[in-house]
Amino acid sequence: MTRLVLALGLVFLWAPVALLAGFAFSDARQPFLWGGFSLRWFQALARNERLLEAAFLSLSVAAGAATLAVLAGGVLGWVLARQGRFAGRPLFGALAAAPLVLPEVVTGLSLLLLFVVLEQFTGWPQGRGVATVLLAHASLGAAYVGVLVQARLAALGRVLEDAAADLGASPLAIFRTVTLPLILPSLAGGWGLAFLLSLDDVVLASFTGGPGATTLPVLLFSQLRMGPTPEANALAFILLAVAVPLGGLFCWWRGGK
Amino acid sequence: MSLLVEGLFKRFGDVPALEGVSLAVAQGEFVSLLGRSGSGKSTILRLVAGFEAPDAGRIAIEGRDMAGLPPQARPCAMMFQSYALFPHLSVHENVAYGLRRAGQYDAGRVEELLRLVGMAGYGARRPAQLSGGQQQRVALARALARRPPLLLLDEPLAALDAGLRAATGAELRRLQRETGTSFVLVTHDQAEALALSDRIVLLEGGRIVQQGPPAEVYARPATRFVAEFLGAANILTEGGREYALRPEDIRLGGELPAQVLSRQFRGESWMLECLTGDGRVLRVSTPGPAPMEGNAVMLGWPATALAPLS
Repeated sequence: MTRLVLALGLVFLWAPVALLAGFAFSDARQPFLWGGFSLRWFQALARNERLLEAAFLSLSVAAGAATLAVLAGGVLGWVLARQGRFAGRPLFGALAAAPLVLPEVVTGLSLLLLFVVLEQFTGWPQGRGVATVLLAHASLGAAYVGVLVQARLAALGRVLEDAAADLGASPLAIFRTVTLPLILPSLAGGWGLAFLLSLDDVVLASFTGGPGATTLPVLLFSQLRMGPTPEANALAFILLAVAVPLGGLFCWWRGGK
Repeated sequence: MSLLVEGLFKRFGDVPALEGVSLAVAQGEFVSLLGRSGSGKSTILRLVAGFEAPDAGRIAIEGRDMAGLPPQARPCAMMFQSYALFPHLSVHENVAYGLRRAGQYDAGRVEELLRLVGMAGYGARRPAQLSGGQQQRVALARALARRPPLLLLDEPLAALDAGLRAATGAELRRLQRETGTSFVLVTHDQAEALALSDRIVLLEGGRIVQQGPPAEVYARPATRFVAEFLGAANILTEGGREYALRPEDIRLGGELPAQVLSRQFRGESWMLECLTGDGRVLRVSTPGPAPMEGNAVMLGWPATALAPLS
């Protein structure tokens, strides 16, 4: 019985993905008709510079946003877990976690307003573009990284840092030799999470993006209105071919620990 | 004096933890702070180590005032109840940690320390690959690495199996003698404190209630709390005063008639509960053979066995 449920669950999760990958090799023009085996959409993809550019932009923005998110979120989590009871800490904690619960439309709109107002008063950012999308994704990712790091530090407790201090380590040495190595798994996991959040985000990118900042999800979404082509399937297949082994490797590594 | 504490006060929020504690530990002395949880014994260690600041009072180690000094700058070392070994470092690197921070790393010194605690050959392991007793030894080697004049031990045996505890306690005592380090050990286990220490200090409600050599405190408890906390005690009221009387000081064959209510075999002795003719219940320890339940016995004790309580 449990095996049946498990099998159904897996089919539910993976059947659409398998279909999508299968239709990448279809000769038909519609991405949901089978027209015989063909690699033509991979060839078309290789010539479709808009799609490839969007994919490259998405990967770059995701990597940049994830890196910024780890830096900001790491500091955020550390402050929340280690700086004790400062004035306004509960409020600060709630504000820091807000992006996790706010609807993305609200976050997107508020970020757009922020960027517009900032431009009026400081002249920066000049219009919306890659930088504003990257900052929007970084701010969302930072909230997630912050929660991960805070939870890890809370679970570890202070006793290891106390022991290091007792053994003569300066605050900087404690951070470098004890705190940082112990939160490294959370930072790595947080980086991956922020990377994925950025890679599949349409809403924030639509609000804060502009001409020249069309990320892959935004482009695919806009193509949907004109009827998608199996080029998108081909691209999705390539992304899957990279992502699934990476995910498997990560699970194997976590399982080994 | 290895450690001098004078008039220490500390409260956490509204809860007083220490209410005027003064204590002196001589060079090479083994002192146990004994009390129930919440008695303030662990707070004393944390204040001496520098993890908390006292509200009032003075702490001096080796004659140097510690006021305002962070844990890094204090000459004492601490062994934590959970051992607090760094899980991402090998045993060797754990022991070397303090030496490296001081720029005194010496692989030979680390090996020597591991030999001292009987852990030679384990240097490459991770803490998670060791048993509780082995982790305890590594924590001890790490704390001793920089030859601190004063070692603070927070319930060092509490996490061990009962069988390991006695042997490990004896080992602690041997290392303390060999290194000449002053030990201040915190425990709630009276047997541990009695067995290991040169002096025991009893704490109750953030105050020291009695201190002295274990045998002396055991034989002459100053208060009812001390008498009942250290082993079993009968409390007698005579002439308006309370006295403590140890069960092993009562002998069978005296002048006081009594009846045996119950008896328990303790291995090396029997513990009897006896109802005396004047209506008191006394606990009596006897090596045996023990009278049966319901039997009539005669009890007696020397006048010197009565310890007056305040």
